Amino acid sequence: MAVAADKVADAKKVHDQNDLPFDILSDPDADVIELYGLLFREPFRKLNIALPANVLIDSSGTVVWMRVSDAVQDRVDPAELERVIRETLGS
Amino acid sequence: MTEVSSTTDGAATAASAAAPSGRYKTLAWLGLALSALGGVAYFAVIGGLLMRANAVPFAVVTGIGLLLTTIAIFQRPGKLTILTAVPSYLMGLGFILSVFVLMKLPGPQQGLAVGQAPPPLTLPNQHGQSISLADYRGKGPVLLVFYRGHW
Repeated sequence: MAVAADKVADAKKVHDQNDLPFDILSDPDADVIELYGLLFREPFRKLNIALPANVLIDSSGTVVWMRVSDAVQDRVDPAELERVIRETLGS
Repeated sequence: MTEVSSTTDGAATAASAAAPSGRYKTLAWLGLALSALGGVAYFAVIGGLLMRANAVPFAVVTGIGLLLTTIAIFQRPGKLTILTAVPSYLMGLGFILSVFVLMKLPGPQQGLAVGQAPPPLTLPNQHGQSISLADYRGKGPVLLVFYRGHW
């Protein structure tokens, strides 16, 4: 599931335009993003921005892996993500 | 050029002491331009997301601008170099300060750590349906991908 501080209408646009198989969740007031400690308040245009982060949670509800970055260009390598998923979930 | 300076040496020296010579004039203007350009270009190009990491090349441009301004004003302090130095320092330092000092990144994520349960999450999806992390317990793993948004 992807989470960003956008409104539901924006989430729908991104979801439909890219034909994504997963849900895009909207957190426009960034409350959950803040709860997760991932909130960056951009001071000049007063935007709430979620730090790029990936959190892998197993079916028992425990975080088994996470990666947080402070640069938007820093995208996790899909191969690394695949390896992590396979190793931590053993599937 | 060399003929002029050898015959009118006294006059030339007096003139350059009163006003910045051509080279330093250029330096002063160039310094101001780069100082301003760094900050302005950053906001124009980067748009919504101001993150420290992608500010570095713009900060370098601004830094060069500030350096040129400083050289100009130290070598030829005069009306022009001072006049260009003020906005140059204001814009250049203002930009650098705002991006590298004032902007605070969120601190370490206390609620989020490997080995413990994440904070509860219930948010509407793109269809407006309420989705909870709790819904997935026992059903399978979940990968949360937080991204900037504002596209």
